[in-house]
Amino acid sequence: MAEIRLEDVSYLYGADTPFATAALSHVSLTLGEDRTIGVIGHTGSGKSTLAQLLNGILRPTRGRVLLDGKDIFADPKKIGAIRFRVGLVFQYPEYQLFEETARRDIAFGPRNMGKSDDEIAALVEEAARFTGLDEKLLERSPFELSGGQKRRVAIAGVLAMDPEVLILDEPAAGLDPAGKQEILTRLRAYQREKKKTMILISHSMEDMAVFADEIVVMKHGTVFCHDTTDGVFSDPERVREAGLELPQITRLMMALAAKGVPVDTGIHTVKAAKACLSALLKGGDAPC
Amino acid sequence: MQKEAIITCTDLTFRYDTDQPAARPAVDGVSLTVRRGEFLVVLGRNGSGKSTLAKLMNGILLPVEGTVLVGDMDTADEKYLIPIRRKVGMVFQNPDNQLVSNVVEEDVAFGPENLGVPPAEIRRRVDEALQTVGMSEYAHHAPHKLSGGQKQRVAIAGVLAMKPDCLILDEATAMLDPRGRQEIMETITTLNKKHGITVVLITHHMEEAIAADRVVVMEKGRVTEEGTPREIFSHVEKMKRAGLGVPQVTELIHELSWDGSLSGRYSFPSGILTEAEAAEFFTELLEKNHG
Repeated sequence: MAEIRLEDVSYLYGADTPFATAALSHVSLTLGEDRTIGVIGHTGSGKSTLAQLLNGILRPTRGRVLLDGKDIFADPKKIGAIRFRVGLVFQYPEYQLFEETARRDIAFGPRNMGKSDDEIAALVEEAARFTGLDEKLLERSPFELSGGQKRRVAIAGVLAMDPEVLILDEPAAGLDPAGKQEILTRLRAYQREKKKTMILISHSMEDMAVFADEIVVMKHGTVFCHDTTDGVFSDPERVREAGLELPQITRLMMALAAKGVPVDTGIHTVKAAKACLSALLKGGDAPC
Repeated sequence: MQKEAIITCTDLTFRYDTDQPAARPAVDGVSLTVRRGEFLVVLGRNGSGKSTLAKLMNGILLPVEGTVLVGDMDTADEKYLIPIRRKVGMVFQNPDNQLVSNVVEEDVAFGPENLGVPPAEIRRRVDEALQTVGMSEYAHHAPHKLSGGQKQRVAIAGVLAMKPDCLILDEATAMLDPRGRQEIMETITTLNKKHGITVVLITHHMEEAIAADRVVVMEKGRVTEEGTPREIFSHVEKMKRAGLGVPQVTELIHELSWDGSLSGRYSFPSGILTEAEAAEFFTELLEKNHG
């Protein structure tokens, strides 16, 4: 369990050159423990820069990143240890597999951490279980696996380091609907069971509506809003202002409200919409 | 009247590993006709054979069994390779893998240059193609500095400059954000409706299928469903079993229809796909209820 905090963080690409551009400006943010936080924003909003600042791949131009209250760059030589505590899964991580077997690939992180063979075996097994990888697949070359299986091996490789904070950049990109649902459901279960801080970077408000406890909306390198998922959806027009697409179910609620039907425009899941409309159709007059 | 066929696949089978005849083929006995001017969407899970089928359609891959005809040209006949590639253009998933030049307009000119088109004609085609995809003002920009959606539009322009009859997009929106996806959807809708270009769109995004004339669903190398978007998405349970989804409003109405105390009083139509249709449906029901 860990809390990660940004204190007035700015990041400039090409700092000290005439082409310096601010990717992040004056961001202050507390990402608390034991929850799933969705970070969402359109391309160029600063999402990926934020992810790389959180585990010290990038160093803030200004401001500090604190892990459980300690500046992660307090001792820059020890930044490697931070990356074990804050795990980052890049987009399309399956392109980074390289070992002879899936098992060895997953074990690469814990091995670098200096874990014993027994510890490594246990960590690999647990990571494979959380990502839904069959024992048999672990002995195969990662290159013989399907796209979805490779993705899971790559994610398992970061889970096996048992990081306190887990950041995933578009973990479901390119997967079909069922594959996407499965990986996000599994990650959510992992986060809950292990009480981790999990940060999901995504373009999809529809996915975040279902899987996140909190949402951070980024816009032009700043935090446009940060609230609980219900809180963010309570003002859907504002979400649109950030250039994001609302889930279709929320758009339906807005269309109904515009026609005078007493529905809550903050509804963002099919389940909630079903409860609301079913009450109205059964003759209820109470707004929902 | 059925429109003229532009691509005809007959009993088409393809396997990557020809040493293992026992393994399930990537494409397994598919017969499918793409008609001139239509907007066809291909849905299916990862590994269902969608991309393999696309590559068979313009001769990047050649059939192990069966045939693919583009017009009346057989893709297996080497002498037709170039005319087929010119007629059927492809845009792939990763925008960064498709652009070859340092300047947008040079990139668009790459195709027609290779076809030996005269310079003045190339100039005209490049300008026209960039205008069609709405990228004229970026003609002198560097492709690597564009957004994903802009890069894909340049890739589409590069295909258009070869004057194709048919454009195949193999998950060309998969790596884009919602805004980029919308840019591409608007671009290909214009190409299809205004310029009469046949579009085959392979995608995982169900909402992109709503605008199609026809949808085919692939499972394990076979075409398992075919119909209008309304027909296809009416089968909510079947689509879910196939690992695919339906639009959220379609799912909502389907869920409500399973509530016994409601289904007795109301009839819930299948095949409502957009929020506008759904809003109208619910408003009418509720008005009747209270009126």
